[in-house]
Amino acid sequence: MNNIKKILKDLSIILEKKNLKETDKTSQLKFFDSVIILQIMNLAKATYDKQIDGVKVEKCNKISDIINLIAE
Amino acid sequence: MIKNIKGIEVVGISCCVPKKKIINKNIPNHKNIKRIIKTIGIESRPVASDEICTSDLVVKSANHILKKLNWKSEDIEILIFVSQTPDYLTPATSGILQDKLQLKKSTLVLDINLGCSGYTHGLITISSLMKNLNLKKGLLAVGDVGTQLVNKDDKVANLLFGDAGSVTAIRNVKNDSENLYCDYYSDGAGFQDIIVPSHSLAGRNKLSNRQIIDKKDVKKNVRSNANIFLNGASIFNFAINNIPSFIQSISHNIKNIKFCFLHQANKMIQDSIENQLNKNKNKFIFPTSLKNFGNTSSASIPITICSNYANKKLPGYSLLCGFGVGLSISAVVVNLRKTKIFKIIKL
Repeated sequence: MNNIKKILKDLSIILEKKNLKETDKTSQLKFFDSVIILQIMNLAKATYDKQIDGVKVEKCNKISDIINLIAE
Repeated sequence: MIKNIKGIEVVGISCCVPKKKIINKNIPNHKNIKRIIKTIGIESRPVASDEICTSDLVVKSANHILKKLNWKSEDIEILIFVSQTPDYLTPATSGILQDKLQLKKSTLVLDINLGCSGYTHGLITISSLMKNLNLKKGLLAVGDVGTQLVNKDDKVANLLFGDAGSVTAIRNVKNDSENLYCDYYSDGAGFQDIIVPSHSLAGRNKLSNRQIIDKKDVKKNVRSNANIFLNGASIFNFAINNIPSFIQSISHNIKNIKFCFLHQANKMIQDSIENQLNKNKNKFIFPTSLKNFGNTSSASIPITICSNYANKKLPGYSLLCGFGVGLSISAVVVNLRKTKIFKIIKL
């Protein structure tokens, strides 16, 4: 499994959405609140050893934007 | 750099919480509450009624520990009170405590304005003063009624805080084998990350009618400038990126650290720090009190000790690490093998 697919799988668990796609919009998610943002920051640090900015996560319009933040 | 204060003994620790308890899942009109509870790890919290001040919790805790240790109030030579919810902005609450506990008038009493790092900052301060002034017995009082700073419509902050008071009895001993190691870190550039914006009697931040008007932020959380604001993302990054390396540098120099008592911010921060420090092996035991007490600010470390180890012994060194408002971090490594740990009492 490449890194992007793995991040997508990890995000689908946090966001509680099966078949999450890179093209999915954050505005259409069931929830994308401050707790979810912290969970994404935690995922980035714990699994990918990456420190990401919560404000940047909040501004992501699509799932692919979040993946890029974690993977870049 | 780690400092060593020689000849300081932590004789006893007591805690007091309000009888009233809030069960988070029963809070009405809160969407996604189960998911948030699972993430923060807080199911219920002791909450003070509007009539209870921090000093009330501390006085009950102090009387309890003095009685249990058979210490006389006239033997206390120093009392330090650490809180971000003192009874008044002025005068200092430590003076009120001196009177209520009938400590002698020659007792050195002072307040420190700190929150989540308050217990460990307080231990460092009281130990240093006791050594330098040759004071034999002291009380470190910490506590907060932080729930009273939270706006009930601040969806996440309203689930986090619990109220508590605690008193730790400290003795200055000749035995140099009783060491209290400590280290500390301050980053005032982050002062706005945990703040009550208008909580002053003077100057441009003076509390006025205008400042107590509720406003809704972009995340639809409601608060006024007299309520506490938490920048969750910044605090999270500060904690998970600084605490593990801070603790690692201490544990590298001091062997036989068995227990790691962290300030109880929330489960996600606790787990992240624990996972980073115990990455390859279970080096430390990380007790927690989040589930039933929440984030009790300056009292969270003693609450964790007393809720898990009342009437028990803690062998080996314990590392205590507070972090938060300021932003600030401090850690103390101390042997609690002789410390009398009392069951949490209620007010």
